[in-house]
Formats: sequence, C-alpha cells, structure tokens
Amino acid sequence: MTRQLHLGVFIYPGGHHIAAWRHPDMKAERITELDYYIENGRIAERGLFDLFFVGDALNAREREGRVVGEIAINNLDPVSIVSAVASVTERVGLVATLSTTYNEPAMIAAKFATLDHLSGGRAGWNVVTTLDEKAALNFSRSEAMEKSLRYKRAQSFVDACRALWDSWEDGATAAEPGRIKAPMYRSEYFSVDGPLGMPRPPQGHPVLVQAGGSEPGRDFAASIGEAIFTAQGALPGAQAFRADIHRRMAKLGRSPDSIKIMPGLSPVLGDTEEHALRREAEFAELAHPSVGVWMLTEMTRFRLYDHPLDSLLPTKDIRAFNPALGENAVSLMRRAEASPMTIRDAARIMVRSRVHQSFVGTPEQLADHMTMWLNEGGSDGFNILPPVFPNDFALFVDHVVPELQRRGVYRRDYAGPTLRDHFGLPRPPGRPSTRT
Amino acid sequence: MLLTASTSGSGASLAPSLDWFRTLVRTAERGGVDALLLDGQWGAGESFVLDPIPLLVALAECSTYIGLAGAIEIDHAEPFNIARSFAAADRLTAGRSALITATGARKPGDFGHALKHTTAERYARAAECIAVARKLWDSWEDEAILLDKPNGRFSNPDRVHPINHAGTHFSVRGPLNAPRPLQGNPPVIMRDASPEGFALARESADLFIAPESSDLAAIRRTIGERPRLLATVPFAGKPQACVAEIVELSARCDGVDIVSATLPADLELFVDEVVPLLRARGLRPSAYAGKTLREHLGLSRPRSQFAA
Repeated sequence: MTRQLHLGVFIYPGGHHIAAWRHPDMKAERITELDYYIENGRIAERGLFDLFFVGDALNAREREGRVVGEIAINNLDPVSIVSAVASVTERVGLVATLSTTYNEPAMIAAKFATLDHLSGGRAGWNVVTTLDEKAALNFSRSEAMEKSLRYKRAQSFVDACRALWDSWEDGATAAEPGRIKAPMYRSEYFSVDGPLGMPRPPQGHPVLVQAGGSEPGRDFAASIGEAIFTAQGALPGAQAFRADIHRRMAKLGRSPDSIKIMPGLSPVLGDTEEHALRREAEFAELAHPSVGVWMLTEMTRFRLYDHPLDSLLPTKDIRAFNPALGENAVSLMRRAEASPMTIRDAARIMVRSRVHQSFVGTPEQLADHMTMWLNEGGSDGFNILPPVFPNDFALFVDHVVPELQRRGVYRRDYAGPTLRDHFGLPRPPGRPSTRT
Repeated sequence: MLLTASTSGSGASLAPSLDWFRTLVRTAERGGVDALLLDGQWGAGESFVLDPIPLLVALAECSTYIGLAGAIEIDHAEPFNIARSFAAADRLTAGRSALITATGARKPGDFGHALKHTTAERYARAAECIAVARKLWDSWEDEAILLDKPNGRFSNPDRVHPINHAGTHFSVRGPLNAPRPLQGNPPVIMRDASPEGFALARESADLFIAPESSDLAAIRRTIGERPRLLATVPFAGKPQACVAEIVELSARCDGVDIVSATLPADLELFVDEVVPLLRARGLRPSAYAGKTLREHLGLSRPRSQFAA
C-alpha cells in the first residue's frame, strides 16, 4: 500500500492567525466555551484525523510587563480541552501538552492514564520542557532551568512515568496485589515509589509526542518520540530534518517506522487561487504590525520595538545578542539571510502562522502539495493550523480530505479505536504476566 | 438544605469507564443534587483513583446543572497548575466546578519534597497554595476581556494584574494565563477532620463535610461560621429511615452528603425514593434555581481582590 498521511489539528484560541479572534467569521467569546472545542473535535473526527492537539504556556503573554491587549488570551489548560473533546468523540486521538519542568511524574502519569482510560485508548502527551523563562517566575524559581539540564530532567520524568504505567500488569485488578508492583523509581531528579493508582492504560503507554528542534531536543525526540511536531517552511529542510531524526533513532536501535514526523501546515483555501490570495490579504488586514514585532521580540529576546518597520531584520545583531535562539527563530533568521526581509515582512510571517509553513491555494493544489511532501520524504503527515476556527478547519476537512483519499494517500476509515492504531504503532508490552 | 453525593463505594467496573461515571452524573442531576463529589476510590475493593481534571471535564457535556467536584492532592500541588486547570474546568463546565482538597499525603513516597515536610508544614503549604490559587484566579478581573473587534482590543491590560506573591512556600509572579473562572473562584470543599484539617477549613474552605456521626456543633465552633457545613449520611436502601435522619440532621447543619453503599443502584434509589419526600417536606427545591454551583450552594460570587 502507498504510504499514508497522518493528520493532526492544532487547536488555537480563535485560529492560528494571531488576529483570528477579530475575523468576522469568529465569535470570539466562544474561545473559552465548551462548544468551541466540541465542535472542532467533531470536525476532526469527521475528517478521520489521527489527533486533536493542544499546546500550552505557563505564563501570560506580556509586552514589557503588561499583558498584550491586542491578542487573544492563551488557550485553556490542554488536558481540560482534550477531555471535553474525549466526551463527544469515539476515535480521534487526543494530544495534550504538559511540561516536565514544572510538574511531578506521579501526577502527570496519573493524568494521562486517566485520560487514556476515559477516552478508550486515545491519549497522547506532547512532552515539553518549557523554554520561556517567565514561566519560572510562576513556579517559585528565579530563572529557567538550563537547556541541557531541562532535557535530562525530561528524560528521567518520562522514565518515571513509564515505570508507573507499567506498575500494574496488563489486565491486573486490585484483587491481585501480586500483579501490582511499586517501581520505586530513583534518579538524580525524582524519587517515585508508586504504584500507579489505577490499572495499566489501555494503550499501555499514552503516545509520546515531542516538538524540540534543538540538538538536545532532537536527541530527546529520537529517544522517546512516537510523533514529532516541527516547523518546516520548505521541502529540503524538512527532508534533512526527517533524515536527521531517523539517523539519531538508528543509533539508538529504533526503526524509522516507529515515529511519525508531522510539520505544521497553515492552509488558506479558496475556490480559485485568486480567491485564496484575496482571503489571505483579508487576514493580513486584521493584525497590526506591532503585534508581529512583539512576537518577533518574544521569540528572539531581541528588543525590536524601537526599530523602523521598514528597516531590514537585523539578523546579525539578533544572533549576537542571543546565541541560544530556538529552532523556529533560527529558521526565520536563515530565511532573512537568504533573501532580504524587513521587520514588517518578518512581522507578517509571524502573525500569519508563526514560522510554520503556510499554503495559499485550492484544495486540489494543497492535496498535490501534501502528497508531494509525503512521496519526497519531507514528512509522514501534517499538523494542520487553520487560520480561523472552525470555518477554515471545516473547509480543509470537507474539501482537502476527499482529494487526499482520491489520491490514495489517506484513510477512508479508522483502522482501530486507539491513537496507536491510527499511527500503526505497537503497544508497549509491559511487564510479563505472573498470572497463576 | 444543601445536598451533595459522594461517589466512593462499590459497584464500579474493574477499570475506569466514562459511561459508569455518566450514569452517576445523570442520576444525581435527575435528583437535583447540588454537587457530585468525585473524590472517591472506585472499583471493587477501592481499586483505583483518577486524576480529577479529565474526569470532571469529560462529564461536563452530559449534564447541565449539577456541580462537579474533583480532588486535588493539595500537599503536592503547584498553585499555578491548580489555578490554570480549574480556570479551564470552570469555564468548560459553565461554572459548575469545585475543588476538594485532599490533605494527608496519600502517597508521600511519590513526591521527593513531601518526605522533608512536617505535618504542620504540609498544612501551612496547603493553606498558602489555596490563597495563591485564589489570587491567580482574581488576576484577570471580570471586565478584563473586551472582545472589541473594531478597535482590536481583546483585553484591557489595566485590568490584568501580576500577583507578586512572595510567601513562605511559594513565590508566584502571575498573572494567570486564563480568564477568571465563571464562578470567580471555584468553591473549595474539605472533609479532613484532623485538628490541622479543621484549622485549614476555618481559613480556606467554602464547604466542609463532617464525618459520619460527628459532633456537628463542635465542628461548627472549630471551623467558624463561614464554611457551609454538611453531615455525612450513609445510604444503603432504607428510604424512610434515611428521610428521618436527614430531617433531624438538617436542623443542625446546612445539609447532607449522601454516601451510597453500591453505585449506581443506591444512588438511583435515593433519587427515586428519598428526594421526593425531601421535596414534599420543603427541604429541597423541585428544580435547580441557578446555573452555577455557587448559586446552588448559596455562596456569593467573590469580587476580584485586585478590582479597584
């Protein structure tokens, strides 16, 4: 069978265009209401999506100490959102982001095990280490943990969670205490006795998702990741990224089939190319350039507020000021160095889809484009970032999905009930049964 | 009188099932119960416990009025995480969430730091944790979100406040990155009947559930006048006796928490046989009067402590 695409949808407050909440199609008050998430969850399932994905942040979005009033508030707590979606769907996978830097393994193992049980085996955890140093101030710390330390802690955190998920043998009940074993996990970072407070999750372990693009982030993804979200603007970079992850996995004895690499993709669709371009221009009108400048400043830590909008993006100064730029920032710097880019241009890219790939065209064109990335080894699927929810998401599901099915690169029905089934991933075996 | 229902008890399947919990929620809502307390150990032989957030939010869609309370191990929690997750739960349940604070370090061995704390320190940390969560919930005033599309103003930064909390156990800058809960602050429910638990309830509880057969007058003196006080009533299938007991207790406290022996059967029996009798005596309303749990409990909605 032809390789198949895997699709996720990345829910966002209003949409992925930073000013989506202002769009005439968007009822902005819905962002904090149950129906908004339920409606989008149902659209995802109608489109046979592998998963519904929610990101996280642990600090308010601020500009020089004040909340940025021009943009929507962060999305609600991700586990809460996917739990709401779980209650109205049957198949779509549910991936929530949680930080290993500001949580404890016993709590997170229980949280995802609960979600996996209540959803019938559809839970996934996007394991993040939280880059933003402002989050530290909300957790009784004066500064962010250094990056390599964050990833060491993350690896230990995941090891502790896995030990907890495996603490009950498959099928063991509380009436069989001999089949439940406290793992007594110990490391430099954590001391967790266990066992887990409930039976082993239906999937064995929830699916582990990773999104780090830095060196330690890639090593971590190659070690624990079963799916990767990444920002890739163009095919050659995406191919190189995917090959690099596969190389790192090979060193660890992992098969490339055991991971799905899903770059972000933000589609602006139209009946014709002209229609799509017109829609994109309408979106651009909604955001003030100052919002994009704030996003650039947040991403690079380099203060751009006093620079003229039409001056060139000072990539040299930015790199000198912040040698530890994140992967998304580096990718933008490279684009600006390859062809001249003003601050206004860069701001427009940021408000449009941050640094994720954006596609403007017809459903047929987009289906061709996605199929090409799949066939050329650029990805195993995509995480879809609709500019405005739910309309742009419904457009994708109702017009692009049938095109992908016609091309033979996307499922016509779910293969099974669990997220592991959608990905074709094996169920971690757990401890051997001691049932007598 | 107020009426809550606990969910500990036998009758659950061996592994957690959302449908089993849905049955409890629908049954309790049919009986006009103010809140379902999801802090049990479920399954045969009290075999499992669950994280409250997925459970509580997954039950929002199958119900409209009933309050949904989830247990937080407050000794181990970070206030920012609690505030963020319950801000979401309160919005997604449209103002029907509550926290039940579990103190007593159920499994201190799972948390490195817990082993280092004395009992007094653990309760002091819990009290501070609740206070910080309330500051975070208040950090976005009710009027902070504008949704002013023509002028491009989603929120009014003047009405969003850093909390700058610097205490013994926590230092938290804030503000929260979530809108103020619909209830302002979700109610905090406690049932820890240790001396430290009473002191914590006096400082921080909105509702306290006394253990079965306890001295209600003494507990009232200890926890003060502020928290609503409920008595625990076991229910195992004798409707007439149960009504008599509830009538007697309701004169001495604010209401009762029903503990069913077997679920959902005993809860169904309670709803079908006991609730109508309580309604006939005028002890329970015939339908929900309000929409939020605070309204059911007769608790006023707090104004943000940062509001001018």
